[in-house]
Amino acid sequence: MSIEQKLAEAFKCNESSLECPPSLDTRIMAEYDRMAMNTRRNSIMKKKLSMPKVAIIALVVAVLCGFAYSGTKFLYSDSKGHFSIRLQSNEAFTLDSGTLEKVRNSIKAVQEQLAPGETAVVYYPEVFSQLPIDIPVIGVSNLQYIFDAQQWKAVLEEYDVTETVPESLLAGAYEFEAGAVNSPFYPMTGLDTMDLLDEMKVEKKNMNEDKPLWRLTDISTFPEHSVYTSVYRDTNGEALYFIWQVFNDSSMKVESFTSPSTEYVEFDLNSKKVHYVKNNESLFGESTVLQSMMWIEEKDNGTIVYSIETDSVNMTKEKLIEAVKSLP
Amino acid sequence: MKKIDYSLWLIRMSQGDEEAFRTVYEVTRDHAYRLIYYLSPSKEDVGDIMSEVYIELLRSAEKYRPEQSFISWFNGLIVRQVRNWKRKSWRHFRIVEKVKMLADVPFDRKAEARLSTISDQMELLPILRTLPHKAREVVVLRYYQDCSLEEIADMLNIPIGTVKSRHHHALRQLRNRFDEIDGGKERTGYVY
Repeated sequence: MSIEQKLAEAFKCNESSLECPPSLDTRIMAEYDRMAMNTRRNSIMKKKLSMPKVAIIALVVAVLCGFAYSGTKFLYSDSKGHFSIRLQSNEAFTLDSGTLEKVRNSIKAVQEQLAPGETAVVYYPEVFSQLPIDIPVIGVSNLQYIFDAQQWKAVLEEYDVTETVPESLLAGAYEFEAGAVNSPFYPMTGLDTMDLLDEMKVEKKNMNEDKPLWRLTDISTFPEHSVYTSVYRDTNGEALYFIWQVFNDSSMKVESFTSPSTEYVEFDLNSKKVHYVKNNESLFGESTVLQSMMWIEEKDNGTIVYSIETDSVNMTKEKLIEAVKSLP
Repeated sequence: MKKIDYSLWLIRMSQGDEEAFRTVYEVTRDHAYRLIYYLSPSKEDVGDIMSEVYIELLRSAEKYRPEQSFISWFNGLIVRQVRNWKRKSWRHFRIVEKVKMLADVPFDRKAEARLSTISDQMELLPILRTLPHKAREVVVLRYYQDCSLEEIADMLNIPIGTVKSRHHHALRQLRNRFDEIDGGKERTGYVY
């Protein structure tokens, strides 16, 4: 008998023995009652307050401990499909140059200990306690770069990503160099982040050293492999990173904070609303300056957040604009 | 699944009709349970995923179009919820909430475990659970739900080439693993 016939036969034989247990019926109906009650309550509230309905399956990049920080300046917000983002600046998120260098060096030190493809959660309370964030950890990744364009495309296909990888950017000035899962600038961490943080907090109590702790995290437990980076480089070695964040069934709401030194401009390019951000205190990359052009598009099967980013100090805003415009 | 006019019941369900929800639930529960059982990464998660499926059914009932096959639409919903289960960042918190909420409701885990044991007497099905999730989806939809590869591509929203590739690799893995076990039994003189 072929394996196909065996499978069909196995499912058929198994069917009668596999029935939904009655206890699950009780549970489902209890869940229904709870939802029905909430719906009735919300519809009354909605009439009174006209509150917009927001479905949140959220990742909060940085959560303020209390929202009433004075001096917060709104930079931009955007929302489309499964993704929404709001960026604000506040003095509380400024790192002095000494601290910035300390954190960047720590991140590099952790990266050097990671094997390609590994991501770690880093706990550095001596530094992060200075920032008004609830979850004092940061993700650090050593991306596993795939240098063959065809292989990279095959990997993307394996992840059901149907976007086309350009062969070059800026009319050939920047050639494709490599692709990788995850982002070099905002690495995603796994569902185990909070458990790992608890472990590291205990370990930290028994330490007297001012140094970061880290643990490997399993990113497959979180919106898995939803970030893809294609790297392009010119003959001078300057890099452009074309990054896709793909949301099919999951949704993300990002509340992001930055220092007041961050520059923001909105552009209308090729009928897209594009957000230009220049962060002068970047923790990742070859320099402390990170520029990005970001836009959101809704697709048939979800939402994609596109960005072209660079950590090159010589890159200009105008060149980034051209890079976005030159995309097919 | 019993045949009923799903579009009417789903419309009533979306308007808060409890009888409509009960009717649709009773007709679909065994089908949903079995499909989730085969697709889910772990048997212990079946109950929780089943709960998520019916919450999502309630939320998306108004989106069902009568010209669609209800089975295909419902199967697509189940497949997406199983995938979401693997990805949700806050599932641990929801489980804690549900345990607190249902503290007074007896939840017969022993009955569930008994049923699982019976079903695992078929050797091929435990091997199925060793496949990567995306491969398992294709095998279950093809050989349990009798979907064509084109229907699977449509349901999962992926190219037909990808479905064929996953199908081919999955069968090869199953064939190899089944042969290893079968060959092992012959060597040790296993007798049914």
